[in-house]
Amino acid sequence: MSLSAQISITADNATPAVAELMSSTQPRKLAMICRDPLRAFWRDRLKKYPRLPGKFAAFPPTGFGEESAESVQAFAGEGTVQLTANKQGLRLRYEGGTVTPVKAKVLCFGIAPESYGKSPYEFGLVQGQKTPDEVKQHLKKLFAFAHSVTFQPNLEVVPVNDEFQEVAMAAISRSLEPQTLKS
Amino acid sequence: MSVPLAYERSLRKQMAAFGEAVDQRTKDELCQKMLDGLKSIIHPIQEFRERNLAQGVTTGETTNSLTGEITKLLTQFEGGRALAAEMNIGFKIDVAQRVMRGAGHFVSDQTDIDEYPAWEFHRLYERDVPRGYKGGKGGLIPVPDDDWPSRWAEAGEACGDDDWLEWEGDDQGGRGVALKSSGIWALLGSLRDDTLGNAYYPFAFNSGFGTDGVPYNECVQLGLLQDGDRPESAKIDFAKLFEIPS
Repeated sequence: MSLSAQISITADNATPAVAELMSSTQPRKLAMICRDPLRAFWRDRLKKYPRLPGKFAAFPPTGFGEESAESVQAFAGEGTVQLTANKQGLRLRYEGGTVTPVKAKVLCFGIAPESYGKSPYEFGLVQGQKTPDEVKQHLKKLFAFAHSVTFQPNLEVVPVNDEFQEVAMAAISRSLEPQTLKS
Repeated sequence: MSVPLAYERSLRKQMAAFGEAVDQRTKDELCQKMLDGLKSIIHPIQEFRERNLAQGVTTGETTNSLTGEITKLLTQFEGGRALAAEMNIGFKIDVAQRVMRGAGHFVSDQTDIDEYPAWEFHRLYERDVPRGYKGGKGGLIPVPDDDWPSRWAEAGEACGDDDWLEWEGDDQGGRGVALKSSGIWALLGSLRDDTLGNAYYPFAFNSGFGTDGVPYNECVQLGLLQDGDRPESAKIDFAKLFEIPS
């Protein structure tokens, strides 16, 4: 004679809670939980994009950091979150590289507070027309000219995987916290 | 409402691509084409010859008047760039880009309604002259009832639901929290003269404010939801996503 015990887990009171916990760890669900915090994290990193040093730091911002931050988008898939930033020049800052003029003869850089981040066309230069001497002299005070400019790679532009993972783990932990522990 | 993933991705990619495509050169070229178009109006004969059309061009009193007005207008602009500057095209397209991106976030943010049923509305970017102030010789001068906490309270009272909470903190570091389904969002973007008519950020140009998701647990903790409630998404009317208020 033997004894046997049969336990029905479907009648177990804990099952709904277990099922809920299981559903909250589905890949798609986890991706959804992480998507918003990851996007916000990269956005906040980009909006603090470092200003140029020296006198440029005191000039009015060009809006590059804010526009980069605004462009961040996040897509949630099955267990993955894809983050993208659609801002011209951002990849150049990240990977580094040399910029050369395509149509114009030289590159121009604003070196005064009023011209920083702007184009000489906003200061009297007209495409296809001869530039008067007084305009040329004025532009020389506002702009520096170069045949190329080289950007060094700035790996701060994109957070490293460890940073993203930390944000994701924090978001998942928050979502799994029972209400009773919070209140 | 559930937005299909493929649709969401497609919409946001399209919006991002379009927004980035409209660069300064494109704006200038568009304005140059507009100027060229105006020039062709005041020199119609050449246009007709090139298209090998037989009929002549009649110039009545109205045509002469129009030609005079256009000629006067053209003398003011040396090229497309000058016209773009005069029309403040850059600023307008910048606002339009932000609205497009906001619409993309608005749509995709309905897909994580179970995880983030609410938004917090808070300052994302610093502004030299934030709403609620105006620039003066001695610095910023307060403008009563114009800041975002005041607008939040006004929109909340007018929206007719209880799915929003009183503003926490001040204008700079504080936040307003409301369920995504609340009517407060539509009113936040339409109650004042400087708003853009959206139920999503940016609610007004150059505000520096935006929204982020608030987790379900936090919504329960704040009293916006009871534990176990199934939150609703915002109602999306794609036909009116970019509608400008009359």
